[in-house]
Amino acid sequence: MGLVHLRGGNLPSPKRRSWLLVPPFEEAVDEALGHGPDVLVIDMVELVLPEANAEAVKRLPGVVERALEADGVEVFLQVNVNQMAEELEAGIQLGVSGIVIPRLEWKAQVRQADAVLSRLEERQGISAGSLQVVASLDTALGNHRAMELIQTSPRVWGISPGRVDLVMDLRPGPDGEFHLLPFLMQRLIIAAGAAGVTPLGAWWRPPARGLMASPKDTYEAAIRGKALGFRGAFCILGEQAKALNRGFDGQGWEEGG
Amino acid sequence: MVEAAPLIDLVRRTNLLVSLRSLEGVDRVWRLGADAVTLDLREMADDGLSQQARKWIRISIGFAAYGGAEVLVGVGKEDVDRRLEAGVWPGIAGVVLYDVDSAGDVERLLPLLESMEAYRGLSRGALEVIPVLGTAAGVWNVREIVDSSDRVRQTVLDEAALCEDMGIVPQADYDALVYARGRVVVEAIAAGVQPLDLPHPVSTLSPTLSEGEIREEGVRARNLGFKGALFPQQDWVGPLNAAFSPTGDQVSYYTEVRRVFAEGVARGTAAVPYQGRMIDVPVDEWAKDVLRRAVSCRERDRQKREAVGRRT
Repeated sequence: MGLVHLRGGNLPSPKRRSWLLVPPFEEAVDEALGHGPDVLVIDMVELVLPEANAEAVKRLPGVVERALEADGVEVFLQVNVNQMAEELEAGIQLGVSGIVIPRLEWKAQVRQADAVLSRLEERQGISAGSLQVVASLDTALGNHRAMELIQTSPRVWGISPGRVDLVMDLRPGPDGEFHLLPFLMQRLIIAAGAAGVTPLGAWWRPPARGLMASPKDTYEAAIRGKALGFRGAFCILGEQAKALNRGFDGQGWEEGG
Repeated sequence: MVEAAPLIDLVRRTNLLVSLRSLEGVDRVWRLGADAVTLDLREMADDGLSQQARKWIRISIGFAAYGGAEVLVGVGKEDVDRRLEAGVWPGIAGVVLYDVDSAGDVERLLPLLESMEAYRGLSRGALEVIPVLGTAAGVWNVREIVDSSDRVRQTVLDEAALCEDMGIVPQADYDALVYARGRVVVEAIAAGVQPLDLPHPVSTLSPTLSEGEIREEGVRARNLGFKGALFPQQDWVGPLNAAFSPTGDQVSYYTEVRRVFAEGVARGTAAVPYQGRMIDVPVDEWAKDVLRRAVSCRERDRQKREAVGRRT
C-alpha cells in the first residue's frame, strides 16, 4: 500500500445531495426534474436491460439534451464499465458534469474512462479535465482498491459503496441488518477523506431498502449517512430526492415535504 | 542506543496533556498519578519560546516528573525544530507529534531528534515519537506511520480531530469511526505498537462523566484493543489507570487458570474445563500475558508511589 497524499485542502463541496437515477427516456427525465434533485443521473446500467442497451444508446443523445435544457440540475451519466466508450460517445455533450461507473475494480478501467473523456472534451469543446468521475465501488475488489482507483485519475471526484448490499450479497442477518455495511461504508469514507474526494451514500437500514424506501426512511438514511461522513446519496424514486436534500442539509423532517 | 522494554511491559496507560499557559496547570500534575505527562508546546506563541519560557519549560519538566511520570512534549508539524529546541531537555522521554498524515511526517522529525539527543546530552534513541492520527490520511496511512521508526511505540487516534477533518459532526447515536478505530488497533498491534484512544462519544463529545463512568469507558477502550489514552482531564487519571490495568478478579482468575491448566498438562491433557470454559494452550498463553501485564502495572504504580513519597 502506497502512501496517501492529500489532493489539497478541504474536500470539494458542491451542492450534490441527491443523485436521482432515471432511465434513458425523455419522459422519465421530465418527470424526474419535477422532484428537484441536485443531480440527474441518466442510467444505462441498472434501469436498462442488457438486451435493450443498443436501443438505449441510440436514444441517449436526445435524452441528455433534454436533461441539459433544465436549469438548476447537474447531469451525470451512469455507464457500464465494459461498454464505456460506446455509451460515453453517445451521451457526453457540453453541459454534462461527469459520469458514474459502477462495479469499478481496475486502474485500467479508470484510465480508459479518463482517455475517452479527454477525447470527448477535446472534440466537443469541453474544458480539458472538467468531466468528473464518481466511482461506485460495490464489489469486494473495488472496495479493497479504493485508494489506488481514486489516485489513478484526478477526474475522480467521488466514491460510493453503490449497490454493495446486492453485489456483495450482504444478506440480512438474524436482526435484519447488513452486518458488514458499516465497515464497508466507513472504509470508503476514510479513503475518500484521505484522498480528498467526496463520499456518497446513505445508511439504509431494514426494513427500508434504497430502491423502495419511503421518503421518511430515505430522509433517515440520509441523516445516518451524513453522520458517518457521506455528503450525498443516490436514489431512484423522485420523491426520495427531496428527502435526501433535507437529510443532507440537516433539516428536520416534514410530512409531505 | 536505548534498549526498549518489551511492549507488554510498556505501561503508559494515562498520558495527561498539560497546558503550559499557566503554572497552575503544571504544578499539581505530579500528584495525580499519571504514567506520563505531555507538556503541550503547540499553543506557545513565538514569544513563548524565549529564554524565560525555556526556563519555565524546564521547571515544568521537573514538576511533571516529581510523581514519577514520564514527561513528553507535544508539538505540531509546524515550526517543530524551534519548539523541540525550546522543549527537549534532559528528563524528556519523547515527542507527541500531532497532525501526522504520513510516514514522512515522522521521518522528517528523526534527524531533529538525533540532533537534540546529542546537543542536550540524552542517550541516543532515548526520545520516542508518539504520532497522533487526526486525519483520514493519517488513519489510511497508519501502517507506514507506525512502521516508520523504532522510536514509535505508541500511537494515538484523535477522534475529535478526525471528525473535524472529515466534516463529520459527532452525534451520540452514530459511531462514524468503527472502521478507523479497528484499522488503527489492528495495524498498530501488528507492528508492535500500542494504540491509544478513548472511543466515541468520550473523545468526540467530551461528556461530563463520573469517576465510575470514565472507568467504564476506559474498560470499553481496553476491550477494543487500546492500551491507554492521551487526554487533558486531570480527574480521569485514576479511573483510567485502573481501567487499563488487569483487575484483581482477573489476576485471581487467570492465576487459577494457569494452575488448573498445569495440572491438566501433568495429567497428559492440554484441554481442561474450568468454570464452564475450556482452558487450552491459547487461553494459558493469554493468562500469562494478563499476569505479566498485571505485574508491570503494579511495578509502575509502585515506582510512582515511591517518587511521590520522596517529595512529601
